[in-house]
Amino acid sequence: MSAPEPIRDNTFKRRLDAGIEQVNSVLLGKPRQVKLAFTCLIARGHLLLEDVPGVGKTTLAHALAATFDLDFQRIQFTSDLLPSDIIGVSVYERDGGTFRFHPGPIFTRLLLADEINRASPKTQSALLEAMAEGQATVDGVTHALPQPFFVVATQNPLDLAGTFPLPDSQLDRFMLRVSLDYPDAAAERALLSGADRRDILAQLQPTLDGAALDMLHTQSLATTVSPALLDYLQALLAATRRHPDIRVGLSPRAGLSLLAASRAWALASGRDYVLPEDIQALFVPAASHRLIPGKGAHREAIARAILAEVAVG
Amino acid sequence: MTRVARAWSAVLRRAERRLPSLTRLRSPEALPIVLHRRRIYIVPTGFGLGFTVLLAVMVLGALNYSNNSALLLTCLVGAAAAGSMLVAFRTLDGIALTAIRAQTVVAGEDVPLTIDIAPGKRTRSSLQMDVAGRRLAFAVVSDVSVTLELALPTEQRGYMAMPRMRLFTTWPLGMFRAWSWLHPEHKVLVYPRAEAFGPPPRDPSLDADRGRPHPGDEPAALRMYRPGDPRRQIAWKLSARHEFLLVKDMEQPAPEAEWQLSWQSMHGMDNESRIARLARWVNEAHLAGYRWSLALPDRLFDVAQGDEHFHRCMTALALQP
Amino acid sequence: MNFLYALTHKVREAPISAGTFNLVCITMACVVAVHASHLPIWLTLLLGFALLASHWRRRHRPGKTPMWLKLPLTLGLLAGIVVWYGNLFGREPGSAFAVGLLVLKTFECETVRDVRVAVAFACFALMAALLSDQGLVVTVAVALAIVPALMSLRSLEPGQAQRTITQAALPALGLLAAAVPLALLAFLFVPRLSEPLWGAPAADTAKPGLSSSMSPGDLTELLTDDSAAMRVSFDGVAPGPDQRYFRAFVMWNFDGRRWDHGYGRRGEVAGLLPQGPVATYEITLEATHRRTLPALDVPMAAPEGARLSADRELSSNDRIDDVRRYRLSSALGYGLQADLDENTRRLGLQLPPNFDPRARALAQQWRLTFGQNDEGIARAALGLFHDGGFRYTLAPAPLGRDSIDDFLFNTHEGFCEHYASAFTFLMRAAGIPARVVTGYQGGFYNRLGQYLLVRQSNAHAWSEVWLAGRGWVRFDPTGAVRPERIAADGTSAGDGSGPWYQPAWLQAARNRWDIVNRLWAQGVTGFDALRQRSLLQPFGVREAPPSMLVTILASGICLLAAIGLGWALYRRPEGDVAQRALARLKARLERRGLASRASEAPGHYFSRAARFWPSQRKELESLGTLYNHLTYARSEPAPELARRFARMAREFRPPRVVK
Repeated sequence: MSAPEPIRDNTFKRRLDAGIEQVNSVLLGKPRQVKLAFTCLIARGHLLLEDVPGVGKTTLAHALAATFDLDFQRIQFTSDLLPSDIIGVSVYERDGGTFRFHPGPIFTRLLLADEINRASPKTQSALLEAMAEGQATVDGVTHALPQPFFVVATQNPLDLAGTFPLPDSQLDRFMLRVSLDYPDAAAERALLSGADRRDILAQLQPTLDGAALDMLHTQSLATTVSPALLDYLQALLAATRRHPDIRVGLSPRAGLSLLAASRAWALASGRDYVLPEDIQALFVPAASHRLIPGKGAHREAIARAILAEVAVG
Repeated sequence: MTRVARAWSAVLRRAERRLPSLTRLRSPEALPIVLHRRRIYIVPTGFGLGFTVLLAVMVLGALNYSNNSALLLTCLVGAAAAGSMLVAFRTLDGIALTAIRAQTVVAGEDVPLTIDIAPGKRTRSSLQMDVAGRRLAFAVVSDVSVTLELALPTEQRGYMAMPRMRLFTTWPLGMFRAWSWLHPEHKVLVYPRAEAFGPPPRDPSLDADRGRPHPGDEPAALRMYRPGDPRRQIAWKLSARHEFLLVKDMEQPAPEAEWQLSWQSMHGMDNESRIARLARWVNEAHLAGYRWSLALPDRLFDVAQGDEHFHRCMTALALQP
Repeated sequence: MNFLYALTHKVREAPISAGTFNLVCITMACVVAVHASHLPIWLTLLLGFALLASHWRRRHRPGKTPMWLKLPLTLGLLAGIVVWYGNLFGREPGSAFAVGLLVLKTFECETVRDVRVAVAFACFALMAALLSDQGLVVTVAVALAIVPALMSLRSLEPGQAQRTITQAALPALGLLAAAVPLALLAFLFVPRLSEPLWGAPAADTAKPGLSSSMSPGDLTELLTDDSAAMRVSFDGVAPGPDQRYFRAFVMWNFDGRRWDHGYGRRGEVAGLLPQGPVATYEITLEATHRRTLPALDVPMAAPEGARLSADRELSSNDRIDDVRRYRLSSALGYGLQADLDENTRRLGLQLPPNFDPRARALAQQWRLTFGQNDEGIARAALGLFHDGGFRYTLAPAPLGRDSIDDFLFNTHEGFCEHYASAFTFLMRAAGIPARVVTGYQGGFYNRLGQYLLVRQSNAHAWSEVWLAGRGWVRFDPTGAVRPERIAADGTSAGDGSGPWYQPAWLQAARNRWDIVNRLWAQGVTGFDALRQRSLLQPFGVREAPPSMLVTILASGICLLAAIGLGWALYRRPEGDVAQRALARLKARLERRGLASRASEAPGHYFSRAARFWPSQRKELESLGTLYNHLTYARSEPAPELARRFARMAREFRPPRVVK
């Protein structure tokens, strides 16, 4: 990795803006979610898209893949999907008399895991392990995944029949959890009157490659985080541990992840320092799925309540 | 309640209406509420008044017998008592009510509340709070917030406003009482109480043809193969005609039941009974793991299931006018 | 209805904690201790025992004390006091009863209210202890006893964290210490009563002191009393030990046994012709409950509020029930009453008939021997005491009817009053006018404090003899027997068996301690209406009227209240310059209608403000940018930027929006 370039070099920022612009042209009326998705990729995190079907989860994932000029694989998670279906298998080759590893779809840079909650827990954990460690193990042999490795997973939270919701502890693997929501009226009109999304997708030009992503990541690490901001972040974390409706508050790792995402968000907003606004924008997508609420409590409501309660230093 | 107490409470009610600045019935205010000098009141307690009389007698005696030692020490005790007023003020000054958190409960249950009191940079040795007829006593160490827990009774669904609370202290000598009224602008959501028993919703099987297409094991569409698709779903014959594999996209297996709950389905009932019945149905569906939809006069919740859906439906019912 | 509920609802009082009860017991023990000096010993012991029993009871048999226990205890206390004092009213039995009731109160200290009542009355009882003794030690003891009383009150407050006894004691001490300035102000400026409102207290026990009559053995008690009688500070050098005679009473009448002062002779004050140095000094006299003011021989004029008798005794216009300070000038060398009128001469020669024939005979014989040489006769008498085998003792053998004869010819032992009495008798019998003078002699000069301490044990009696041409001349026959009694500097009267138990260091310590006592007596107990009025003399006010004192008191209280309020209202500023400036700006804008929330990021706040006042959009946005820059865009603080922000925030004026 090269030495961090001065942030004043706007080349990558301009390319980033162009990429964001491009995805926005496909996924109408969702600039925040698009920016969150970019943020997640810049911060080297995995993204969980959560919403009812038909609001554009897949479109977003495709647009990202097209914009990022990365190898792209898509896996449809179903109840009979096996771990080997995503990681790959070792096949005995009669010619050489040896086992040869046939890599599964996971060996890619950008992986879209569709309806992740439909797969069995065993399969889910195979994916999640790979996400956490950046490697996959088959028959005792460890195979490194290409770097960077991003997972964009989708799930439908409202439909639980025949599904295996990701356990709370596993949600931690995702840096951000983003809901897409229904488009607003204007965006929906544009959507209905415009061209077929699939056609637009086909026309997308890759604007960011792996190197650019690396550079953006490096730049995000170089953003300034002031003591005052750290105080605020710490107060937020402490508040989650104090809240009566939360069984388990945010871990320090969750705090680090929130900070990394906030840095990337600040970069995507064109700043080389992090503001409380950044943390507030990222708190619900980055923290709410990591809170383990008590019975009958609603995660996002709690997260928003905490934001409303903690004073900005 | 005796007659005197009743009369007194009538006077107070009137005073609250007429002289809110005097009784300090402050309108609800946003959090955090920080106490400052204009809203902290101090009066001597009964003990303080009695002690003052005693001190006066002591001063008079000391002067009369021209006993200077006694005069000096009486002055000392008196000055300490007067100083305790300032201490009482400082015990309250700068304290902040930073957060109130409530769990969501059903009307009629007590709602567990937590109240965060932030002391600022000062240790407060003894504080008391009167809220809803209960009295809490606590201390706060500087820079460390304390969380009070209490339970408020709820009566009806919807948003319940926080009652007015009185934070006070008689620290350090019990001779002065400093207090301030807190009326935080915080609403607690109370879900409607479900009726105890009643008829089940209409048999879902009767509604089988209504609503959106019923999912089944029939292939709904063909799409391109994605890694991970089960082999048995591949439409081999159809694929043979294309350059790529096609997959029969199966609809999800049918759930055991799906309830369409509707405001309009009940006739000849008043609003509250309808809400209570719908609440019961939503509860039952949620507990049994059914899918359900809820149609209210002003909005519709499409068929879904899970916690999120449950909370949305109950919130809508709670806030139904 | 919560509001009403809170006001009308009586919270059931929880029983007090063990810690509180212990503190109450300590307070009561302090009350008993400071009263112990005047309570009968049996009562002190019984009360101590009752306190222990009460403590034991609460620990092992908690709950209410049954009436069958409380009632007999109370009645027993009442009966005991009535039997002992013969009365329940009056200061002594009254305070004994009050202390007893307080101790018994611990048997029913169960609620907050009980403790408060008990502690309040304990404070009262503590002050009452000062009525019998307002010395420094007792005062300090009472002041310290206030601490557990305050601790008891503090421990009643609910919700406190557990504390150790020291953790609880320090804040109580701190509260008292903080109260000192106000207490001192009040002490100095609360106008003293010049007349008591109700009956001045009768001295219950006559304090030992010089009395206006003298018979052999009277002074014994006094001469062994080491308590201070007075302190004298001289302007300039103190007179030598042989000149430290302080006259109190001049006694003319002798009935064969007892010398009597009568009521002091009125009439023309004996003429005084100073010869030699004049001493100017100030005396701080302990309370004597008499009127007489001792003065160094011989006072030249009476101080304010006192007058001179014909024999130049000083007596105050009112009884000295408190420490009294007065300034005097005395002639150390003098000619007193050079001309003796006939009445006085007769008085100075008066002797009871049919007493002491042998002494009279001896005097007649001297008259024959010395002729008109009166001084020679006096010297012969001194010589008799010096060489006649006389011994100085504080425990002489008792004397018979002819006490002078008995002393001169049989016992040969006695102390000052025996010698002065016999000497005067001999002079009168020889036809020389003579009289007995009592007062104090000697004293210890405290170099550290630059004053002369005169103890009760310095009480003395001597003679004055009228010699033609010289007037009244002081003769001290005791000096003939025991010269060191006169010349001694510091040791007291005691007989020969003196100072093995009083080593030098102990003496030195006692003398240092006496300085403290003196300061206390001068500064506190002696601070009366008179001295209060002259308090402002350094500021050019000769005599401050009560109205002026009250004015000063009121303004002083206002000043201290302002300081106290400043302390109470002071809040440690939170945050740095920029944060404080932002907080002030927010408060200001809030008054103009822009609500602020603590959880709002500053950038958001300023954007919202810019939308609220579109005409000031630019200023508000640059304020927001600047704040974000200095707070979040750098890891190090930026004081220059912070000051700039503070200035801009201060200067920002939101437009007056007419809505």
